[in-house]
Amino acid sequence: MMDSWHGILHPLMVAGTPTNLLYTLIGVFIGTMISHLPGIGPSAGMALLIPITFGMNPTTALIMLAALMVALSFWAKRKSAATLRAAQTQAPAQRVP
Amino acid sequence: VVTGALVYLRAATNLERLQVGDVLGPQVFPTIVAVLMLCSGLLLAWETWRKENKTTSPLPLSGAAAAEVRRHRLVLLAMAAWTALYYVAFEPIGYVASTLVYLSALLFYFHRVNPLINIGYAAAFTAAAYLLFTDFLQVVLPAGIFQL
Repeated sequence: MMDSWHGILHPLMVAGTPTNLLYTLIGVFIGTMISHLPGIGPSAGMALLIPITFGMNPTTALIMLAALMVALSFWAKRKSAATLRAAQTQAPAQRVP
Repeated sequence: VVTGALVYLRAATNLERLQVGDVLGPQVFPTIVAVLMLCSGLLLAWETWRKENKTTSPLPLSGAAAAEVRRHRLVLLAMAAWTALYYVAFEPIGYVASTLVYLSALLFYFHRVNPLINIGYAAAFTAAAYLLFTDFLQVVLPAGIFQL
C-alpha cells in the first residue's frame, strides 16, 4: 500500500523541486513572450521550443513544455475573446441574441 | 487515445504481481492512469460525434468556401514540412540561424507588415531565448554557423 502511495506522490515531489519549478516559470514566461509575437499560434510556439529541449533532462523538458502549452493556450483564448468582443462592438446590429 | 489506453492497460496488467510486501502491487497506478485515459478517450469521441451531428450543414460548401478549406490544408501541410526542415537544420546550422530563418518565414506569411519589423521580432526572440538558455540555464544549444 505504501509503495502505491509513494508511486502517486513521487511525481508530485519531482515536479515540486526548485529546478523544475524554475523551468515551469521559464516555460510560462516564454509562452507569454511567444504568444505576443504577431501571427504565431500555440502550435508554432511549441514547435519553436521543442528543439531547445533536445539537450535537456527529459523530465525537466516535459515540465517546461507543459507549462509552455498552458501559457500559449491561455493567451490564445484571451486573444480570441478580445477579437470576438471587438467584432461585436464594431457591429452591434449583427450581435447574436 | 482509446487505442493507446487499451495498449497501456494491457501492458499494466502484464506487470508482475508481488506475493509479499505491497498487496496492491505495481499495477495499481498504471491501471488507474489507463482507465482514466480510456474514459477521457471515450468522452472525447462522444463529444466530437455530438458536435459533428449538430454542426453538419445540409448544404454542400460553395466554390469559394471549398477553395478556402483547400488553402487551409495546404498551409497546414506547408507548415508541417517547414517545421520538419527546421528540426533537420537545427543541428548542422545551429540554433540562432535556423530559428531566425524559421521564425522570419512564419512571420512573413502570417503577419504581413514591413518585413524589417518581422525580422526584428524574429531576431529579438532568437537572441533572448539563446541567451536565456545558454548563459542562464546552461543548456547546450548547437552554435552552428553563428557564435553569439
